[in-house]
Amino acid sequence: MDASTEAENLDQKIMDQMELIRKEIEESVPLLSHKEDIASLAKEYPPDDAIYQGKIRSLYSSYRWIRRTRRDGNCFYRAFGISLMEMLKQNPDEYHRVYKVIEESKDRLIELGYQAFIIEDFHQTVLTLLKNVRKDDCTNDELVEWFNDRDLSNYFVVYFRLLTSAHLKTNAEFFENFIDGYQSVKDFCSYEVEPIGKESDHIHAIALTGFLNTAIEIVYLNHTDDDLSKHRFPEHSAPQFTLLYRPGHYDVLYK
Amino acid sequence: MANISISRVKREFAEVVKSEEAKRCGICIKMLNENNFTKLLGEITGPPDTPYEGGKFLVDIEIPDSYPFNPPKMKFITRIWHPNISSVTGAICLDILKDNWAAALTLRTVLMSLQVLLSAAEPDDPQDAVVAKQYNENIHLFMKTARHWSEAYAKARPIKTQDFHEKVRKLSETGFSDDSCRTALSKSGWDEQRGMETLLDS
Repeated sequence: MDASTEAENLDQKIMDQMELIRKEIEESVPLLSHKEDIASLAKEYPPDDAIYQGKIRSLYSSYRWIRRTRRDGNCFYRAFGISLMEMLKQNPDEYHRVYKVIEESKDRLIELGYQAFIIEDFHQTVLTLLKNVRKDDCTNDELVEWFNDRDLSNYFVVYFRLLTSAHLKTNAEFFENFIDGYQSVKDFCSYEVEPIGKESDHIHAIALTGFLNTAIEIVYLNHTDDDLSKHRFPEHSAPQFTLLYRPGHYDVLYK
Repeated sequence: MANISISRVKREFAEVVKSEEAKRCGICIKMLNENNFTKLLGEITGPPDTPYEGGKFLVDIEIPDSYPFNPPKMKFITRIWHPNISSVTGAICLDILKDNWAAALTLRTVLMSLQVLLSAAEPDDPQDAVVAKQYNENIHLFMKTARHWSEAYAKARPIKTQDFHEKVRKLSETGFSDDSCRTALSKSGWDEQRGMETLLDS
């Protein structure tokens, strides 16, 4: 067998293996869990790990519940999505404002060069979700169920990735300073924002909250020797919901 | 295949067919079976000022069930000598067909990107190690070999590598097929002696 076919077979084996792992995760963890007692976090870390256990105890004082997301690289968007919908359900003024932003977002994306016939499906799916949120009989369980439907949920993720991209591109001059390793904001969006499964960072949170004009708080739980750190996007705002960040992963926190 | 993805592929298909830009670049797409949008055939014209100029390269396109959340599967059917495309299987190494696929990309944008790949190889991220090695060590021989393959497999004209055609013809008198002889000679720097050894070793 020649070297290139051998390498291809290896490639194929790696891809098969990854697909298998992906399926295993898919079968064992939902895209979004139901609310769990925040105390369940403590069990994930060794009882004698003073840093983690200490930080988790300080979480208890502010938060009661955690909603977990699947670690598939899209956790930020799903965590953000369910929190946004739950907040909008409680807040009619914000609902009407955000609905308008999303409704008009399609034209903004087209102005930026995205093709109408491609973004329409995603745009429509998100608008349908928003309409459901407004119905009196829509329960939080139904919203969670919606986000656990792989296809619908992925349509949401794709559209919110595009909105994140749109904000970065519209404000390229500003964001140019924060995209290490990329020639342009456009490149950064093609490689780090739009592909499904690419993990999100600070810059994604700034861009998405910027586009929607929403305010969120992200609580950082990591193994550093300091107090639990909290960041608000935008800074000094009154957060509408809270996400928990652990290196490489986002979940939702509730009071 | 989910209904949503079928209707999307139909629209993408129509977009390639209608696109003036695609027409100008010599890119087109066909259905293999009537009303089956899961298996398609793309055709890319080799771009000017490359060894692929004027060649017609066929690309096998398979739309997965999970489209557009996963990329279409594409590989070259027409044999081609290029660092990022396997000379044996036609498998393509292109980021947007793997990790960097995004649901906002379309069949048109991918086919255009494949054409760009023919103009701008990326030998540091090779699919075919033998071709990439030749590209890095002897660019002239690479260009001529690539041209020869385009003439032999992609109907590229005019013929500019008559001497290579002659070498393949002569070696094939031993009874090995033209394809095997061409591959062996290409991998052996077009040295007949080494080409013969490669054939016997394989």
